[in-house]
Amino acid sequence: MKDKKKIKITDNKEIRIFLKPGRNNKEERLNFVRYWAQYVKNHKDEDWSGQQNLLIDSQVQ
Amino acid sequence: MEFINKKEIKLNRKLSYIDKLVLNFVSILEKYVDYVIISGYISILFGRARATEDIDIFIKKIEEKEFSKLYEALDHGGFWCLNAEKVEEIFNYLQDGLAIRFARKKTSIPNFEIKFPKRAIDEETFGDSINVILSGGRIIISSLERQIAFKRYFLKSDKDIEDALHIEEILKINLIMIKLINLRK
Repeated sequence: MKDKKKIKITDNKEIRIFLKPGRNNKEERLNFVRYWAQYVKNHKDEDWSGQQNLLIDSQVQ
Repeated sequence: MEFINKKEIKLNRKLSYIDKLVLNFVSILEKYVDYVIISGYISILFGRARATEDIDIFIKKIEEKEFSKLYEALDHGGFWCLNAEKVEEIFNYLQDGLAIRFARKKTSIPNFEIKFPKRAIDEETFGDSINVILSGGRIIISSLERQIAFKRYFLKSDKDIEDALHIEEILKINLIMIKLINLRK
């Protein structure tokens, strides 16, 4: 049986999807990829790219 | 993220250092040669949570004379070649099917790995490329289905599988699954 996604509606009426822990490192990584992709899909470009740029810009400069 | 049509996507993302560098580089490149960005930068452009030390680009085959003009423009634009200084030597690498790398002068990363397409499937990337419109300009990338197929069925490292998964998850509804299956074959 497929696990259901854990979802919460916040006080700001935003949908929050929770990250499912993986049973091993590989599964954990893939779960995070799916989780983050859903975040990117459901939030404004300015929102997710600001978070992503913290990672990218810190590694480059 | 707006899918304007089959050939165009608009991204309202905040530009990272790498995005600005890519826009700068391709603004020079496109004046002299057709290009397509391939590989990991594409998934990063669409939000994948990782960085990269290089951006891979196919350029259409050109003669040494045109390449010299491109080289001069890149040099003038603040880029140097990591492989050699003499344009003839650099062009010979390309001719021999090897990749050459350009970076901002006095730096090595991030860098742009440039190569001529070698196989028919490489040539095909020009045919179904798409334009990504950013606030700072336009870049041309490989089709997303092709990108997924290449990472999932050819490269197949853990990192590549994750890159493919990210694009699939972002764009589930918009992918043409039949095209993906055909590319796998």
